[in-house]
This record gives sequence, C-alpha cells and structure tokens, in this order.
Amino acid sequence: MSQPNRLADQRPPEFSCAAIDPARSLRFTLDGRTIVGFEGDTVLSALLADGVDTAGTRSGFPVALDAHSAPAIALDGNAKRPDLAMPMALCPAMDGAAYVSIGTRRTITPAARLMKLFSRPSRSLGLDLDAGQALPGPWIDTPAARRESADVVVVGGGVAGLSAALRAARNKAKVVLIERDPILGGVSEYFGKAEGEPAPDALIATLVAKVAAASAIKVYTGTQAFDCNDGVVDTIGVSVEGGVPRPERLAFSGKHVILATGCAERLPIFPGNRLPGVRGSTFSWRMAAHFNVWPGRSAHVHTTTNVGYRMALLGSGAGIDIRRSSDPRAHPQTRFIEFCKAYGFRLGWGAAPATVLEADGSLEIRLADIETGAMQDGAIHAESLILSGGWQPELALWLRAGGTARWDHARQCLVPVGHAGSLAFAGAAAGFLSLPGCAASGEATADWLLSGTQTEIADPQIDPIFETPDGMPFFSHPRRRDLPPAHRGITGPDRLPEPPLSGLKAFLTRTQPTVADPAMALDPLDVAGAIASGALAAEAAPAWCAERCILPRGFAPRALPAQRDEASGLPVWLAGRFGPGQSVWQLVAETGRVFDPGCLLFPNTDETDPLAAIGVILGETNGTLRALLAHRGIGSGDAIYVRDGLTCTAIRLDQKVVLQD
Amino acid sequence: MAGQPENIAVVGSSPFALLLAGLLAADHSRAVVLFARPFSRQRLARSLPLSLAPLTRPETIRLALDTTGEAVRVLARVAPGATSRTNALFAAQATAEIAALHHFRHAAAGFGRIVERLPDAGLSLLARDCVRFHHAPFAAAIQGWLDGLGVRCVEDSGGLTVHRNGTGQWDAVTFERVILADDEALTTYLDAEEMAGVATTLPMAGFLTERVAPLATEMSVHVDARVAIGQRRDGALEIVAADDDGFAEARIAASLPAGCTPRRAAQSRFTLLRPLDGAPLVGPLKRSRAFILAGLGVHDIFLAPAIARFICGAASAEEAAWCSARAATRNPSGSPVAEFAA
Repeated sequence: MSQPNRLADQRPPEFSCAAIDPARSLRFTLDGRTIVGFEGDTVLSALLADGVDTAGTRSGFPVALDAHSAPAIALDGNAKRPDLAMPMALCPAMDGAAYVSIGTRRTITPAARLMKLFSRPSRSLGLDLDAGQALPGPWIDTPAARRESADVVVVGGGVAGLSAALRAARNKAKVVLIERDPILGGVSEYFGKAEGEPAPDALIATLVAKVAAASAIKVYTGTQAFDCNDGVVDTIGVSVEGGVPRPERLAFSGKHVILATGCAERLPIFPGNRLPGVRGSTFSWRMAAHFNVWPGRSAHVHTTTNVGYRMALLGSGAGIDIRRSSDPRAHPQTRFIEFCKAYGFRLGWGAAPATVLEADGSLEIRLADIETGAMQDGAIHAESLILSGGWQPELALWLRAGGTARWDHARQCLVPVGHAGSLAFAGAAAGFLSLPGCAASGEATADWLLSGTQTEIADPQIDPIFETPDGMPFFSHPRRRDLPPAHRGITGPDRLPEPPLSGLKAFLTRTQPTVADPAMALDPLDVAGAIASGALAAEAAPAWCAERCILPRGFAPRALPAQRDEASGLPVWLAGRFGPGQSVWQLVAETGRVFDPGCLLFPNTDETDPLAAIGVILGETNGTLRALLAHRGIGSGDAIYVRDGLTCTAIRLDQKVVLQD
Repeated sequence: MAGQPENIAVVGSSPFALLLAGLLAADHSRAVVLFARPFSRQRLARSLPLSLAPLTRPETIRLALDTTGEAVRVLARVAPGATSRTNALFAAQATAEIAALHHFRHAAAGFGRIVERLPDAGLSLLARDCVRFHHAPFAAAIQGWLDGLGVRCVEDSGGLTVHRNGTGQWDAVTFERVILADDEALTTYLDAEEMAGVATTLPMAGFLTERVAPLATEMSVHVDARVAIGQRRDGALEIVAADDDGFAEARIAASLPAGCTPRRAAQSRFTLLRPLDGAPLVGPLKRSRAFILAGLGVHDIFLAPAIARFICGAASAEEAAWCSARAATRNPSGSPVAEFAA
C-alpha cells in the first residue's frame, strides 16, 4: 500500500487544516528509492507517510527518523555542495525530483546488496549515526545569499510571535517574522482550549489574518533560524523556482530580536527511547496536523504532561488504536484524562517504560512501577510509542548569541539568564504557560523593546486540583547490557550506562574509560538530559551551555596579519644562559661546515650533557658564524668543540663581537 | 616527636593543582584542603599537557625528563589511561621561533632524546616517545583518589582568606601555607597590581572538534602560530590557541594538516597568565607572600612531583636550585631563567 502512514479521511477537526493537497499526489526519489507523497509535503513528511521511519543506526541500534535525526538533503549531483544542501524537514517534496541524503553510510556488503533485491524496501535511510551529524546542517558554513533588515525580527510564528509582531507593527516598526513550520500558529492548538480562555484555533486565525493584513510585517514560513549574532539572525529555507527546490540562506538584521521560539519536548530517558516508532508528542502533532501523517496504526502514549493525554484522544479520533497510556505521576488529574476514560482507554499511573524493544515495525513496551522499580506484568505491543516528557524552553539561538542558562530546579529545565545583545524572549520560551499569557507576553516584549513600557503579564493557570502540574523528567537505567541505548539527549551518543560486567567477563574485559565530553556540539536538550539523569551537576549548566551549545562551524581560513620575522640581538631566553660573563664570539669553522643554531659547544669531545656546555651556536650572519660563550678564560685562537648530534667538530674562536648581559 | 601535619590550602582547579594537592597528602603527609571551582573538571581542557615542550633552558628540560617517569607512575595510580606515549611535532616558520626550536632540539638531543628534523618548510621537529596527559580519564578518577587520600575538597567560593604572611584561614581552619596553583586562583586571590608586576594575561581560545581521521602526529605544537593540537583517543581534536590578536581560528585553520577540516564540538575563551620573562613562577610573592605556581607550561603536570617536594622541603639539590632560580620575587628584566614562551 502506498503511504501506509497517511491518516484516513476520518480525522478530528484538529487534523483537517493540513498543508497537503491529497488530490495531487507526487513521486520523487531519495537515494534512488521512490517515495510517494502529496503536494504540500516536505521530504520528511512524505518519507514518514511512505513508511520510512528510520534515520540509520547508532551503537548497532536503529534510530527513529524525526526532526532531530533527519539529515540534510540535496538534489542528486549536489551532495558535495554545502551551499546546495537543504533541511529535509523544510524541503518541499517535488514531483519528479531526485534527492540524496547527506551523511555517512554504513558499508553494505555485496551479500547484503543481493539480499536487498529480494526483500521489502528498507524503512531506513541507512545512515551511520555513530559518526555524528553536523547539526543543523552544512549550510551553517555558507554565507547568506541575501540580507534583509528590519526594526524587529521575531523568531517563531506561534501565538507569542504573532502577537509580538503585531504589537511591534502597531508601534510603527518594520517587522520580519520567521517561522520554521509551513503554517503559522505554532503548537497552541495541540494544547486545546482551557476554560475561560479563547479557543487556540480562533485566536490563531485572528492573529494570522491581522499579520497578513499588516504591511509592515513580512512573514517567512518554512524558514529556520539557526544562528543569531549581533542582531543578525541567520536562517535557512527552501524556495522553489521552476519546479526546482533550492536552499535559501537569508540573514535578517534587526535592532531588536524577539525569540518566541516556544519549548522543545524533553526526551524521557529509558532503553529504546530513540528507536523507530518512538517519537515526541509535539512532533507527532505537527506531522498529523500539518501533513496528516501518523506512523503506525496502533500506539502507546507515555506522558508526564496533561496534554499528552490529548494526543491519545486525537490519535483515537483519527482511527489509531490507542493500546494504553502510562504516566509516572501517581494520581494525575486533567480534563483530558476524563475524556480518555470516556473513550475507555487503559490508563496506567505511577508507571513508566523500563525497556522498549523493536522488531519488524512493532514495539514491545515493558513498564515498571515508578515507586518500587518492579517490572509490571505483560508487555504492551504497539506500532508506535508517543512520548510527552515535558518542556524545555528553546534556548539554542539564545546560547549561540552569547546568552547563558542555568538549571531551574523547580521546573527541571534550563532557563535563560542575563542578557545577550538585543535579544528578548516572549511566550513559552520566556516561561509563560497559558494561551493568554503567551499572547500578552509577545505584546509586552514588543512594547518594552520599542517604547520602554513595562506591562505586568497575567498567566492564568488552572487550579492544580483540576489540572495536575506536569511531571518531572524521568529516567530508567538499563537493566541488562543487551538493551537498546537509553539516550540522554537528541544529538550525540551520550546514554545511560549499562550495568557493569561481572565475574570472569569483567576480569577479562578491559573497560575503556568513559569519555566525559562527547565530540559533538550539543543542543540544550542534551544538557538538560544530562542534568536530569545525574550525569552532569546542575551547577555546571552555565559553563556547559556556553562551551557546548554552539554552532558546529569549521575553522575558516583567513588572511593572517604579517608576522615579525626578524631575530635581531640576543634572544631574552639566552640571557644568563652561560653565566653572568657570557659573550658573543665569532668562530672559524676549520672544516668549513655549517652548524645549526643551538648546537652546543664543549671544551672537549667527551662531554655531551647540555648543562656542562660552555656555549651555543647562535647562527651565521653575513657568512660569519657566531656563538654565545661562557666566560671561562678562553681567548682568540682557542679550540672548542661543537656537538651536532653524534658528531663532534673542532672549531676555533676568532674574536669577541659584542658583550651581552 | 610526631607533630601535627602542616595544614596546606591548595587553590586551583587545573589537573596540575589537583595532582599537586594529592601528592602533598600522599607523599608528604600534609593535611591538604583543596579549594577548587565547582565542576571545572567537566569543562574543556585549557592546555594539552606534554612531557616535552619546546623550551630553551636545558635545566627545565632536564627536570621535566627526570620527573616524567615519577609523574606517570602517580597518574597511573590515579587513573589508568591518564597518560600515553606519543610522538609530538613542533613546527615553526618565523626566524626567531625557528632559532628557539633549534636550541631546543640540541638541548633535548643532549639529554638523549630523539628529536628528528622533518623535511618541511620552516622547521619541523618530531620528538619521539613523549608522554601525553589525557584529561577525561583523569577527570573521571581524580575525586576518588583525592577522597582516598583524605584531601578535603571545598568549593572555592571566596571563603578562604589569604593573609599577608602567606598563611590562610577558612572557617576554623588555619593554613600554614596557601598555594595558589592555577591561573584562576592567582587572579582571584591576588590584586591586579601585584600580578602585573610578575605576569601578563594572554587571551586564549580552546576548542574540541568532532572526530576526524587519525592524524599523522597525535600532538603538534605550532610555535609561531601559537596553536597546540592534540588528537583524543576517540578521534576528536583538542586545540588550544592564543587569541590576543583575534586570529586564533584562522591560525588554527592554517595549522591543521591539509585535508583536515574538523567542525567544532565545543569552544571556550579564557586567559592565561604569562610570566614577564616566560619562565615559571615558583614560591611566595614579594608583597602578599602567597605561594604561587604559574607559567609552568604544558609540562606542568609532569613537574608536579618535584614541585610538591620543593613545597615540603624535600627537593633534591637540582630541584631546589631550579625552583629557587624561578622564585616569584625575581626581577624579570634580564632574567637568567627567561624562557622562550611557546
């Protein structure tokens, strides 16, 4: 069946405003494999829809294809051109296009190649993720093709970003609004309507319409900001000219930059947390809402947040068989749970995945009791595992701009501290949780930057009696050595340690010391995962973020300033080398041979100890050999010996040249 | 008569400072309290310690060669894998640096070290069988070693008072001696004016890169570019470069072997204290009487056993002479120990 992971026509209203046009199907190839999609798909969404759900392997285990692991791609023939590389998640799927993924591949043996002919198409892009990925992508080294300036650059087109852009425009500012997704609005709709608040979809529709009508606001959707320095936001997008997708490297400079980048989803840490089929709930929501893609026909939902239950409801509404949900919190209360009960879902509280194994597209999920650690009876079998692990403010741009972050123990996440040039936060990235709070925060930030007025922002929360606060990050150590890795983060190979070897095996196996620092630039999510799982002290967060959360650029060659290249006079490091009376002499080399500077001079041929040397060759100037000599009652015509490696050559003193020291 | 062991406060977070604290406790039975910045051990390395550096004073090369074996044995006790044998490349293009490298080559050869001249442009020397220090295994094991020796580790949050006579006070503990054992400790506890009399600060940049193919030489020091490159066991490069001119990255690019174009994995900026005459500073300062250790260079960790002996009055005549000649009270102008500060 073509596009096995595309949702059927029966979908909840939340998944009905997709960016795709199901009436217009298209075909393209990636690495020679034909993929079927719809117009409006990105290459990533089309791949997932068509059953490709694996980016490659790391440490011998497959890794899910998602927004974090999706490699850069290029049109066939351009793979070696970093300036023509495009993000897979932003590149439109174009009918007839031939794409190639960029990354290291595992070597395929001839036998495996032969087997491939007779087997089902692979679900994997076949990347070797052990070699690491240069995230965000090769375009970070290419200069911007076009620069644009504005008074205010807003990064993020969610409720906070839209509100900030509108308020800035009302303050007579020229505004550029940058949004990574193809559709404005962010993920507010995923959170649903709360009592006493406007419906997110209605608010977003109003804001989007106002932005579209505001001539002072220029919107760039499908554009990802990856760097920010001195008020310049570097972005990558993909434009299509004549049916051919091309990367579009743009730079936007603004007097003010508002980061309305929202929150990233924390990764719960347990063995198998990055296997194919395992994915974050916001990524799942984006794929379903924007592209009607839901990999797998059945799902287990594990959530430490209230909104995670909503994903179960939406999935069920879209015809997905929700097998069960689990939550590490003991007795969570949320309106979504009541709905789940009404749907008849099996809910499990105080439990979390202890291991997840994957075979032939099916996951085997085993839960453990949070309190006792005891494994629960029976495994859950589902084609996907949706994880909602809580929130980490999206700080990558902030840190790359020179901002710092600290660990907030109460919220169990990194939070920004201090200042970074002209940057300011708004919305969820600034810690606001409610829809009105995010909207007001966007407006207040714009007001504060442009007119200096400070406004108090209300961020109404539902009473914890009715809505239990989101849970803390959780991690579950591997109980055996043969389990898939429990990745601490999204970027590198860092994972929870396996149980130590025991007995003879431990005696015979020499364990290599763990490399404390991975050779890879990190995302703030990686640092958060390392702190949450105890690998890194919370107090180390500022230093680690500053040192590690960088853009993995190369070292650009550049013309160097001219070096001084003279060696006049006696170098200071020879001062007093042969005592207070040392002096410079001209020498006569009887054999006519040339000596390197540094050759040591001795009174006889036996001595070799540099500490017993009586002088040293300084070099040859205008054909005259000179040496620095100790004051030892020697005079013109006396013979001394030059040692050059194993050879020792007689040389005669000519005259004292200049007295040093 | 067995008296109370001398109370010594060691202030510093560098591997050298940590090893010194351990040696004072282990080999010299001192009661040591280590004041270290929190979590500095997980930060990017600020130097690439090597047993042999391109130095021009034979007595320093000799001391480093003499103490390296002992340091390696101690480090093996701390963390197996903290050191390894390697060849190191020292390269220069400019006349003054080439001359210094020539002097180093002949001095090292005089002590029996194999230092080959390579047929490269400028002057390239390959020093065989050097010992290299590995930060990661050391960092993972040092706390356990210090704990085992009874070294009390205290987060250095400014609670230590250093008196004018070189003693110190922390809560109810009085220290007969306070040793400021790394650059950060010196800049924290000494006033800028006093420091300016003995050392200048040099802006530095440190980098870790993603993994690259094995380099022909695991360690290289590009003397006139002021860039040191070391390849870790996992293939990543550790790079430290002077950045006083803002051209550190360009000089690194020029120093990397042809075809090696690594991406950064981490980066840091810091300052290095450079003694005015380039030679180490060992001992009390004139005014504050604080015992300082600075400018020991890339082989600092390999000199640690000798320094520990000197502090405890157990140094050999050669070690004592070397340390005394490098007293922090010396006049840096026309200094007879001035060193080529590579």
